[in-house]
Amino acid sequence: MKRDKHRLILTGADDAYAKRDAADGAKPASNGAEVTATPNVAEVEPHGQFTDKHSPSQKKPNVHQPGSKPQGLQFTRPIQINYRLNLGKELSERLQRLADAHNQPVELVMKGLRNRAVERFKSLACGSTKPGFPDPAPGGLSIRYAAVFTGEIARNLNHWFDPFDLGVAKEACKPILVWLFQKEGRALCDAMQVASQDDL
Amino acid sequence: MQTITLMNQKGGAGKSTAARVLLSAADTKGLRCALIDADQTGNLANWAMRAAAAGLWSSGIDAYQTIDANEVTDIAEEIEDEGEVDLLVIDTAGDASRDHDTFAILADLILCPILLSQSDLETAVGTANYLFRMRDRASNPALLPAFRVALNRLPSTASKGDAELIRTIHSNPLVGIDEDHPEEALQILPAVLQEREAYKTMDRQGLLGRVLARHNEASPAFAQNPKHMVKALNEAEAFLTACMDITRGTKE
Repeated sequence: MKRDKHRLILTGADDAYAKRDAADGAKPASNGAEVTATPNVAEVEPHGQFTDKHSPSQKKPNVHQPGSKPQGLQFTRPIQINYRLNLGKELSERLQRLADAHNQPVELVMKGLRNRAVERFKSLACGSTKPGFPDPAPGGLSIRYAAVFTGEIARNLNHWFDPFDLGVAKEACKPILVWLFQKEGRALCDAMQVASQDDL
Repeated sequence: MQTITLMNQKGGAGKSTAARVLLSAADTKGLRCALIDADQTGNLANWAMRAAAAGLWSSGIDAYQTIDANEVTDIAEEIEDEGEVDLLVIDTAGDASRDHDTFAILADLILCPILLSQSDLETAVGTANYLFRMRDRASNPALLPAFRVALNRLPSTASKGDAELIRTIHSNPLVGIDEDHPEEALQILPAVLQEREAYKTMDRQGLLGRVLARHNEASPAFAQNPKHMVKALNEAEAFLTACMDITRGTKE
């Protein structure tokens, strides 16, 4: 991909090509520059923000035959996640102020926080204690995190959060990751606040 | 980072197979890759999951799945910003939607795999015409992606009909504003994918090179590096090289 390709602007839509969209009267798709996108999902059943191969609308549930071994503990189902981790409104404002004060792009700070949160998440997931279900603050600045967990992490997460092998462990991971992300953000803001008070 | 988008107006022409081949070859070459499965069938992402579960995946390949064209852009931009990926492969749905504008903007190369049939050829021409017409809609046509048709599942021995069709594909000036106004020849990738058992194994199990390595680990010396797998891997590498040569040209 070429970043400078964002200078490319496509005007209008090619109705001779996208005949079905044209017939539906859909808006032009995003070209990354001027036009607001309307994804062509009209004929697909609604998804959440994060599409998932285990979406019940598209995939039959994994039904075990009578007498067969439940797979939950034997088979390590990889966990594919693709979330936006959000900071919550109040913390977003604090972090934005902090980033501005240090002349840093807030996106970069968030990337660092995300990396720390992910490390902590992995370390939690490799442990022996099932994490609780936190209730992180909604809204605010957000950053994407996508990964596929396999091996021990997937085994533990599936064991804790998907004992019936329904492919739902990823749903339980999100609040934990967001909570850790917000915790890291709060810790940074608090630490920098203390540091600036010390300077005074 | 170079981005290859698989696009065709119809399904079943081999977009996901071509994506698997590209990723397998890139893995063998040690390239850092990412894939975005933007096809609602999720074939490519499912394959990645299957391969990861079987231990035949690479930690150097990140997999994403979404049917939201905006999200594809978000992910691609983020990957680009992080600067840790050499090759991004985007697999799209077999249809003709306005989302293809978004995918075209992200791509350095749009690869349109087809089977050797008149119907597939016609749909490829439709996609090529769409790219041709895009020149009139683009602020700077020089920034448009390259477009190539990739012949997929070629038989090892071409019949008379196959040979005739291949000649047609290579010789006719087919592309223009529409099929009634052909102006230039359809661009064909100078590498093909043959019908191979090894690609079916790749689909079932995981990255081709990893499947071969696993096979070698478990086999006695005389049974190692089976010819059909090695040939497929060589073909995959030639396929990737042909694509990367074009994407580098687009960048320059």
